[in-house]
Amino acid sequence: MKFTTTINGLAREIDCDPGANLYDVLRALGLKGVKQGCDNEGTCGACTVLIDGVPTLACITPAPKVAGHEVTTIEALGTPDKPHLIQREFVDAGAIQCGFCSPGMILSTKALLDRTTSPSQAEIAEALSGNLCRCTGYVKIFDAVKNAAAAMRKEASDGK
Amino acid sequence: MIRAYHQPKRLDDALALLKQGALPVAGATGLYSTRKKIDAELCDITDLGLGKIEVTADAIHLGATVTLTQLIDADLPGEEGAFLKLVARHITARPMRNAITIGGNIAHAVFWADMPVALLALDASIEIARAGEAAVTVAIADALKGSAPWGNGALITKVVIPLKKGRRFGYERLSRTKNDYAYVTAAASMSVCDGKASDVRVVFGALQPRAFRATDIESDLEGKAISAESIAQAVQKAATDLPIAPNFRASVDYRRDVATALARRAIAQAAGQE
Ligand SMILES: Cc1cc2nc3c(=O)[nH]c(=O)nc-3n(C[C@H](O)[C@H](O)[C@H](O)COP(=O)(O)OP(=O)(O)OC[C@H]3O[C@@H](n4cnc5c(N)ncnc54)[C@H](O)[C@@H]3O)c2cc1C
Ligand code: FES
Ligand code: FES
Repeated sequence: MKFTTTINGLAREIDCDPGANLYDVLRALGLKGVKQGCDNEGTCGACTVLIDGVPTLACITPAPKVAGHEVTTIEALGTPDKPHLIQREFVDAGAIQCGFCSPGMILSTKALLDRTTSPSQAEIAEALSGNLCRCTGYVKIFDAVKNAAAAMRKEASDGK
Repeated sequence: MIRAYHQPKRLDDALALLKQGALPVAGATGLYSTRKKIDAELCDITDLGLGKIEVTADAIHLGATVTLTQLIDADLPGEEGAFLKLVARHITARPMRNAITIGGNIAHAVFWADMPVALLALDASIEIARAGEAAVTVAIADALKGSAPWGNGALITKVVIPLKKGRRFGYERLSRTKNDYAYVTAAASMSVCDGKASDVRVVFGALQPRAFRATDIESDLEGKAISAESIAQAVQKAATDLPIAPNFRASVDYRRDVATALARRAIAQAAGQE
C-alpha cells in the first residue's frame, strides 16, 4: 500500500506491505538508528521514535498509522561533528556504553525536555520507563538528562 | 498475513468493514506483538473520533480509543477518576501507555489485563456497536462472563464509569518487575457508613482467563462492621475455594497465597483502614 508521511522533516512517499511495522519501513529507508532489542514485542524501547513528538515503539506500530503524521528518528537530532545538546550531555556524563539503547533513551529524553526543562526525578523515571539499558545502570543516564535540562535552561536564559 | 490496512474516518464505515470480517486495531500493542500470526484485513479505529473523555454529573465516559496516557494526564473527578489513573500507571511503561487504549485492554482479554479488574470494581459498563444495529450497553461483569460481546463484527465504542458518592477503592498487584505482567491482581471498592460496608466489590485478575468478582467475600462483608479482623476472616474463608487456573508463571499454591494477601490489602485500602 502507498501513503505519504513526513520523516525527519522530509515528505516521503512510502510503498510497503499493508502489514509492515514502522520499524521495518524506517530501517528499509536506511535509518539504522532505530534498533531492535527485543522480539519486536514492545518490551525494550530500543525502537523508540517520535510520532508528532510522542515517544512510540516502532516495532509494534503499524506503518500506515504514520500517514499524514511526523516521524522523528535519532538521525534528525545531530551529527557526529555537531551532536545535539542531549547527545553531547549523554556522552559527557558517560551515559553511553555499548550505545544500543541510546537512540531510544535520547528520543524519550527529547520528548520530556520539549515539555519541561525542569523535570523532577519522578518525571524522568516516567519518561524513561520504557527504555531498557543493559550497560549503564541508569545513574549516568539520569545525570545526563538533568545536565541536558540545565543546559537548556541556561540556553533559554542566555538567549533572553 | 495482514491482507489490507483500512483507516476509515467514520464509525459506520468501520462497522461495515468489521462486518465483512476485518479485525479492529486500536493501539496495536497486543495485535502487533504477534503480527505474523494474523491472517485478516485490519481496520484501524483510532480515527473515528472515539478518543474523547467526557465527564457528566454522574459518570465518566471514555471513548474506546482513549489511551492510558490520556487517562493519566486527564483531569478526572472523584475517587473513581483517581483509581482509573492509578491503575493506568500500573500498566507497562510510558511509550506503551501512549498507544494502549481502554477498549483494546478490555478486548485483548489476556489473563493479566489490569483494566478489566478495575472496571469490575468500578461497576463500569461498555457500549457495543455493530453494523446496522442500535448500540447496546452491557455491564462489564456480564461482558466478561461467557462469550465476549465484542469481536465478530462488534466493536466496543465506549466505557462508562458511574460516579457514586462515598465509594473508595483499593488496588494491589504483584509482578516481577514494575513493568511486568501481574502474577495476581486484586481490587476492591466499597462505601463505609457508620463503620459498616456497603456495595462491596472484590475482584481478582490473573487467576482465571478473565477477571472475576469474588462474590463470597463480597457478601461476607456486605452490611457488616468492617475491621482488619473481619476482612482477614472473609478472605481466609474464601481462600481454599478461589478458582485458580494453572499457568506458566507461578504455581497455583503460590498464587493462592499471594491472592489472599493482596485481597486483604486491597479491601483494607477501600475500607480506609490503610
Ligand atoms: C510487553 C507488554 C506488556 C504488557 N503488560 C500489560 C500489563 O501488565 N497489564 C495490562 O493490562 N496490559 C498489558 N499490556 C497490554 C495488553 O497486553 C495489550 O497489548 C493492550 O491492552 C492492547 O490494547 P491496544 O489498544 O493496543 O489494542 P490492539 O492491540 O489494537 O488490539 C487488541 C485486540 O483487541 C481488539 N480490539 C481493540 N480495540 C477494540 C474495540 N474497541 N472493540 C473490539 N475489539 C477491539 C483487537 O481486534 C485485538 O484483537 C502489555 C503489552 C505488552 C506488549
Ligand atoms: S524492539 Fe523492543 S520494544 Fe521495539
Ligand atoms: S548503553 Fe548499552 S544498553 Fe544502554
